[in-house]
Amino acid sequence: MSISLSEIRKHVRMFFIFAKNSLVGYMEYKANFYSGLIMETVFLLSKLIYIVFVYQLGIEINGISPDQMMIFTGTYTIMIAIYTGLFMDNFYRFAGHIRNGTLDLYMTKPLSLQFMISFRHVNFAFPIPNLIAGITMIVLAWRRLGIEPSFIHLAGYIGVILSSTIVTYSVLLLPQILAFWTVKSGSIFDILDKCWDLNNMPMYIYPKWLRRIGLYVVPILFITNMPSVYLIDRLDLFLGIWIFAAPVISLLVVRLFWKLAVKHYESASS
Amino acid sequence: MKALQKYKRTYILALQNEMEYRTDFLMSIISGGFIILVQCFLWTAVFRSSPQEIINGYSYSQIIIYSVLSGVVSKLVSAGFEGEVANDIKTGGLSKFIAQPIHYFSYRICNFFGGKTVQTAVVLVLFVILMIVFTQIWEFQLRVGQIVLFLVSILFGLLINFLLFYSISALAFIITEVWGVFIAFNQGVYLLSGAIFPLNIFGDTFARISSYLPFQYVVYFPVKIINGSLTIHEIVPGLLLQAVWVIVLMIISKLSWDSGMKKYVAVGG
Repeated sequence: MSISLSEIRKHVRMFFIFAKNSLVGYMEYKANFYSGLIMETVFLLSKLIYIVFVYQLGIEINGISPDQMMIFTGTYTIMIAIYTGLFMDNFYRFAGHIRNGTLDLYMTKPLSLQFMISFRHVNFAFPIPNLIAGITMIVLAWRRLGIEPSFIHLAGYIGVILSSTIVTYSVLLLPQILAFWTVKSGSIFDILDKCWDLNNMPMYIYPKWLRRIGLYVVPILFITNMPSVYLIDRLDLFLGIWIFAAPVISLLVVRLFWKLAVKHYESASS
Repeated sequence: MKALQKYKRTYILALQNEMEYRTDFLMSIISGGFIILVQCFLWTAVFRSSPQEIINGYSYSQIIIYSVLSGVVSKLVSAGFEGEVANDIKTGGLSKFIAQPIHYFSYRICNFFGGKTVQTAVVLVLFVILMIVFTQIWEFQLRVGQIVLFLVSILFGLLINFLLFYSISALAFIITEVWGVFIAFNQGVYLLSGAIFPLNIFGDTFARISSYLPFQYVVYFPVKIINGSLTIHEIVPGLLLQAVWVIVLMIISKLSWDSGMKKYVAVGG
């Protein structure tokens, strides 16, 4: 697998063209945009209810104060914005590509197949309320906790968010790849998909065994916890190393699994 | 009598269809289990961190039973037909109901209850297992009367939820791309019905406001009957209020559909 600079540049350029296509789509079908916006706002409210609950209670839960909890919820909301904006639409369509045979068409394109599947659509409606609410929560909690607003802190936080984004991509694409075998989207990956809900609350409310599985085996808890853990100064050396290692390992695993699956693929529809 | 035959047939068809997909329903309960799991861990952590033994009027066992059962009940009463209704309106499938001697409302309600009959059977099995587990772990008493009242309130809850979604689905007459509104409404009902948190933990004002709304009678009220936090003097008026809401919502759905039908132009089909 040789990766040349011009290939990377081509893919980046294509990503922006895909994004532009999606935006044009939204401008054409404005109702879809507003529908998405309303829907996501209500979903956001049902996530915010947790933080309301925590403040109402006003106690430290397993050593996490309400303000620290807001860092977790804020990060979770930002991660939802990233997931729904970049990946969700593509992942949900994936099984359909196999069923309807559009995957065959994508295979003939002079682009990486995994790239085409992963980044063909960008959602502009869902991330808007989440980004606004997420960033607001982070800023509020940041001030209330008196974390120094230094460049290092901010750059570090954004860095860990990037690392989490890669982990999100890998962990949530992995169950979708099963569709190469099952053809239709089954309950198995619906269940794996729902694991995402575990990020609703900081990992500190979970027992140790679940925390370990969620961080190191199927790093679903990595996604919202790592950036927050970095901000509230609970990072130890091991977790620090894991922030760099997890995205690399998970991306590698998903890539290998993808290659194995494509090799297995025998065009279902035609 | 002959007129009723077609609705009986609709009911049986929906029942058979749901029988085909019974594992799917079970799976959807299991996949919904993650949020219940989060809830249970959250409450365990809260009770461990708090010096009090009763939080917002709930003991630990009561709140865990509430969290688990509200997850199951909310899955059972969920509607899910609003998309089909919108599709009928958008693509003109509704026209055949105008031309044929079958009433759309009756068709929908038979269809809904046909599917729910199978789901209720699945839930009852699950329910028995859960109750055995709960009574083993905690000193949790369950009376026959309580179960009967619970089942009655579930029936009313199903009716209320059906009517809520049937009324809102008339929005498809004026908005073509209505899916976002439906999903938002669905999530809103989920939230206000007490499926996530019991409604009274957000203070008296919120509890009072929600007591004037129909949503709490879908999940919150039935589950509170079964987890033992209501006395018989609270249950009976609650059941009566459920019945009142059924009547009110029937009127609302009639009004919304009548005004929608005036706008219907039978495109497509």
